[in-house]
Amino acid sequence: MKLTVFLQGQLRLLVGKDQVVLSLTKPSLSTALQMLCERSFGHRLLAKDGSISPSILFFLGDQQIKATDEVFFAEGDTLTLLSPISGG
Amino acid sequence: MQQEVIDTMPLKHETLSALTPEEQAIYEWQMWTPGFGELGQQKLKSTSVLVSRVGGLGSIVAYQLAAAGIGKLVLAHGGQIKPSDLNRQILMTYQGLGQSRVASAKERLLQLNPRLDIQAFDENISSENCDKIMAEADLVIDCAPLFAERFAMNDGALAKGIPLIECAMYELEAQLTTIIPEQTPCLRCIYPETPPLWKREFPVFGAVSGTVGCMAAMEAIKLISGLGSLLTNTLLTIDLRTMSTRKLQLNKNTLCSCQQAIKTKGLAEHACE
Repeated sequence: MKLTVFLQGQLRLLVGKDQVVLSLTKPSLSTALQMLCERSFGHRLLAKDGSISPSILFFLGDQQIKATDEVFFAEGDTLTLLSPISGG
Repeated sequence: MQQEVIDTMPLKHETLSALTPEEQAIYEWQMWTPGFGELGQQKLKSTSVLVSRVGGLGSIVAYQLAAAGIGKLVLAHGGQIKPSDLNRQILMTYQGLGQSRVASAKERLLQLNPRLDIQAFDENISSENCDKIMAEADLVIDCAPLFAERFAMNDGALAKGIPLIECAMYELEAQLTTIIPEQTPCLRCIYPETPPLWKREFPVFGAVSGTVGCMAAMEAIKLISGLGSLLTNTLLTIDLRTMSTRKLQLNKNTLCSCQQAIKTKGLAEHACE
């Protein structure tokens, strides 16, 4: 299935686009994250220990989820990755 | 998942300040707003708000609250005005280059509202000075760029049990959320650590900081007066490139120190019964 992944915050600028479409081999969050990490910007999603950075927020639709949650996508679902921003 | 909507601020004031005839005249148009009225105006007049810092975001927040008739502003911002401040920091002036930012902010705010009580600190918030700067605040609006400052304000607001409005911007994006101690996720629930990607200097337009600054000021007015509903448990994201908004639902982090403190407090209260 196809999954649209929206990118917000600094991730959007770092990746150079506001969304990517994944062709998932399995409709699960863990598969989506693995595929994202294999992209050229994948290292931006990782903490020093190789796990998904706790600074990246994940949303299924508009509901926050954790990178470690067992989530299975249905047709039409969207995933959003949001990196922190601040004032100034 | 259904999120809890919180409608009013736990206002600590036992008495509200009456309005003078001059204030009645100045705030007449906003007091016509249903659900706000003279009582809402009195609540604004009786409230002290900490705005840190008064840069691109905080300038607008402070200016709008001053215009709306807030009683007291506590301002914290260190350093002197630089050329690169002037694309967005509307309380700074070209003539003021090299002079104190917070002094400039205070002067500009008093030109608009000479009745305003302002406590100005020529320093940025840290864990060391947070108690002192936050001492007289009923509400905190975080407009700071560095996560160390933001975490200090978060921890101070949680310790004092006062609300915290978090606003942020980047390029053409903006974010806003309201934190109510013990009721919503705190900043550390949302961001457990200082984000490694974050850089102190970043692309932004003054119109972006102005947009989210106005929205943060409106959120504060609503929170103080009990008008409307708040961005509790919700991260509002605004994309000015496409003029689109989203309301993302946030979760408390059960591993966060704020949730551990609530659990400990609950156990202690239970033991006392």
